[in-house]
Amino acid sequence: MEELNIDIKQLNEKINKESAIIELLTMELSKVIVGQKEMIDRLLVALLSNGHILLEGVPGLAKTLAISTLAKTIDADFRRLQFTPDLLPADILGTQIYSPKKESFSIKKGPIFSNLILADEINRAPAKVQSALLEAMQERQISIGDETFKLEDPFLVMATQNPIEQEGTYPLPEAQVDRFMLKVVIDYPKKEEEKQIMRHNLAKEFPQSNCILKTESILSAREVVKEVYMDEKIEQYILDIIFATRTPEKYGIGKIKDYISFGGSPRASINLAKVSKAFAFIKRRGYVIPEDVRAMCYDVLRHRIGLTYEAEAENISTEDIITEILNTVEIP
Amino acid sequence: MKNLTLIFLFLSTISFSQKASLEKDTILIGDQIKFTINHVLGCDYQIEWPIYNNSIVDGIEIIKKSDIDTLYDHDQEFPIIQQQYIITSFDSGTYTIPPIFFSESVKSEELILVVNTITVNDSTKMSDHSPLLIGEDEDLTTEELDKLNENKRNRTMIIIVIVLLLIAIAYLVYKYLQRKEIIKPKVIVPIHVTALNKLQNLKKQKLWQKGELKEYYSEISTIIREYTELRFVFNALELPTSDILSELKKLKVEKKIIESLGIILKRADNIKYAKGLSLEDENKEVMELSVNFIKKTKIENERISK
Repeated sequence: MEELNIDIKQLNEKINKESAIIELLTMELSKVIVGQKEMIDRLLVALLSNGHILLEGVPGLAKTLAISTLAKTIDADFRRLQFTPDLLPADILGTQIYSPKKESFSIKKGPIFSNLILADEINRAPAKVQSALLEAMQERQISIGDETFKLEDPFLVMATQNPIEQEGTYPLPEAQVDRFMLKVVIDYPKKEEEKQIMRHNLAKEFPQSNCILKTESILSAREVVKEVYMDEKIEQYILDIIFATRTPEKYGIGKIKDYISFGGSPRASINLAKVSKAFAFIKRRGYVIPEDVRAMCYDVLRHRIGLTYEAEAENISTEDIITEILNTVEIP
Repeated sequence: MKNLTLIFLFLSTISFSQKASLEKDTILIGDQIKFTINHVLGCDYQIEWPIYNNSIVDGIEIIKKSDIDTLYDHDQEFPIIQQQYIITSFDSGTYTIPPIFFSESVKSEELILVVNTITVNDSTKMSDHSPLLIGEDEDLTTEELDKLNENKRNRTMIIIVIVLLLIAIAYLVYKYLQRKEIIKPKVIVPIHVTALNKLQNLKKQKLWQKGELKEYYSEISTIIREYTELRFVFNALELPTSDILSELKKLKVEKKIIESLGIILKRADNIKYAKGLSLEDENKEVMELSVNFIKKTKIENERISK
């Protein structure tokens, strides 16, 4: 018991030390990005837990600015991909180009070979392009011709979807959406924040962020995140939440059963556990508490719960279902 | 009464009988009955025939009277002289009709007429008992008769339904009263008493003394959350510590109370989720703080009965 206590103590100290970079990062990002704290937190969580983000929000909410600034602060490569209906998988992944001079094929790597990628309006590209990107996201390697290339770490894709314009779009299939660790919904900034944004843009020079870290720091922080302690009680809590999405009637919420066509997959449990640890790390804690799980629950589950026709007819969202589950599942 | 002298001459020897009779000797006020005077004549016999004008005696009034009639009966040898009166009385009492003298030696028997009143029951409510004015069936057409019969059937059905309903209501009332007698009101122990009892039991188990620190703090945390949920009516069992404290703040609970609850729950979280350890004094302190939290926030004189 004493030994275990020392472990946690040491871990807490270690995490407290290592997570100092998060404060530095946040400060640097806030120089450029006003508000959108939740989006920045989620970006860092995804970066620390080696996941990808699907972002939903109207245009002009600093999505590109956020990820490009993050890339700059951690000294990472950044590429923005605008998805269009005529885009081809090779436009993203790369292709083989024949050189008549050398009489051989040479490989031209696509923009996916970067650390941070903004896949803008991912639902505007046809299924084969989406599929190519999502496969790369999952496998973290790309095959062009006979050669296979490993994608360099850290590798984070932040894809965006515009919730307003749905015409001429190719909605992502559930199986592919599941590959995003988080789905974050962002809203307009507050009045005070927007006033600040306005001032930034009217000033002579737009604020700039500096490179304060190396990508290696992020990779080492990832290793520390893995060490964050998760008690069995928290594991049980995560499982209860995920199982409540599958069999709500067993948790006394049979009323939502008809609204759910499918619940969270095992990937949901795995990701909820991972991001809870990362969130605890951001909060500079060496162990996960129920607050961490609850804070990340919506982002992990909102794209992993399938709604039935009844739910849509009654205007019930996945957020409503998650709220109901969180209000019913007891904290151990 | 005047006497009319009549002279009859008969050929045969004296052989006669005389009679005055009442149709009934007891009547109700207003009832009409026959009063008959008969006299059988012999030959050459002289009688005096009674003549009544308006009444037989005081109180017995004459409604109608017949002529004096002479009847011949086959069994009788002599004719019979008869006169009938329709009489009534509007005063109750017992009336004596004295003997009628047909001659000095011939008379009828004395008659008694008892007139009764109608007994009126004062407790009976006034209601209209007059029969429905329905025309004679003979005057109605077949359709009207069918309708009439249908109405009668409907009325009967309604009466049956009402009777059945009354029986059902009576049965239900009976059952309800019977049930009420069986289920005695259950007094629920106030929530603070339940929580304090649980804490007392936990203390007796001496969990932290046995090294079961996590169980000890888990139990305390559950007891406090259960109590908070019932006392402040929000889902404390499903909320993490920070949210519970925020909720209490919103409910404007005293700051010191929230702070002490914060110490209990945060310490419990540390033990439960972070393999934390605590000193002996801290374990005792958490128990004391829990008891004080309940005592300070309890509702006085709480009695809930089901």
